[in-house]
Amino acid sequence: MPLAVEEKETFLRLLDQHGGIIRKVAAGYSSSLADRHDLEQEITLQLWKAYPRYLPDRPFSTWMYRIALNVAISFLRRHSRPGRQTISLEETEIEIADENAQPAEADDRIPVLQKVIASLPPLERALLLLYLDEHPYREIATILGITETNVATKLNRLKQRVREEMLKLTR
Amino acid sequence: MTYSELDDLKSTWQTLSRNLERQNALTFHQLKESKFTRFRSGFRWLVVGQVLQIICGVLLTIVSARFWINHLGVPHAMIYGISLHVYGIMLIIFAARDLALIHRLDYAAPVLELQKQIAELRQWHLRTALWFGITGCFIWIPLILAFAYSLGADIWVRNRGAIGWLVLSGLVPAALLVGVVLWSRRPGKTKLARILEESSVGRSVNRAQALLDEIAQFERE
Repeated sequence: MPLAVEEKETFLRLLDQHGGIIRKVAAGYSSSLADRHDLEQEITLQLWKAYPRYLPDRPFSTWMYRIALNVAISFLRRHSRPGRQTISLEETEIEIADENAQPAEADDRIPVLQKVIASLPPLERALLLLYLDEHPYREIATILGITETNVATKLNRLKQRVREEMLKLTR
Repeated sequence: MTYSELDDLKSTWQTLSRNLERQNALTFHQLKESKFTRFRSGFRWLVVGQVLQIICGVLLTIVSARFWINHLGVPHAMIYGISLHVYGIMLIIFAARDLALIHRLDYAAPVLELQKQIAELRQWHLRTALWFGITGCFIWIPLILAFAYSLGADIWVRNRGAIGWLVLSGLVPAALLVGVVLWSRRPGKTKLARILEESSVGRSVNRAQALLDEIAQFERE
């Protein structure tokens, strides 16, 4: 169903306001810059398609996260090839340096973080992104569709796993 | 520098987020309306295929029903017609279920719910593909026999042995198909079996099942 002009403007405004979610999710689920741009577009278009069914009394960011993660997980499953799950350090550095309108902030842990993210299966990756973005457990549970207790349990396991992964990477 | 805790990476994540903002790779306003209106779901071709399948199923059901109703006194002609009728209904039911599964997909649903729905759709679609493969090895037999009967050539009466050969020629590819699928899915595969698995339904079914298992495991505390 086509959206009215006013609705389109509201949608674009909300998209501008919460666009960071798309960028972060796309960055967490792509293995190259081209993939990331494709994924950003796919998420945006799926949001546009789903927008007529969005209920304004619900938080837009939660709705957006659900769609972004669902699209990203499907994208990753479609594009994953053996040996392509992990991004090389060189590639991530190039990626960060690419298309910078302004100089990027330096943080030597960025490649490590990207490696850690890339090493996780799609659902754990979603959990990690939401945790790193400092969402409360209740919101993570709502987005993922699991209980808060399950979120807590999974995060504890994830922390252990990430700890081991980081030790491996920095050894 | 040591990186021992996940929480240590929160600040790195914020830096990465700010860098992504700066790149400004996504300029939403550049997404022209034409691009939005051209956008179709990834399941578009699946939907088109299922609609065509329903149309074929309806046509086959009508034609075959008329055929067997017109030959109520001829058991073998009724069997041809009823076989095709059942196949027609199967085409409709399978496609309708596919469409129902596609229709319920909601990308705004909780992540686990949608991923489960996609995995179930995939598994159902692949299972029906295999089923169609097997029945497709045989369904042409009543089709040919009914067609010949309509033209006045009753093969059952004139040359019953030919029907045996027709059935046999359906059995061979069906057995081959089942054999290849089972072989490609068994543990401890040979190199050839692995190649078959990579390119056949076997792998896809296994992957769909693996996906469902992964979701179920994630749901467990």
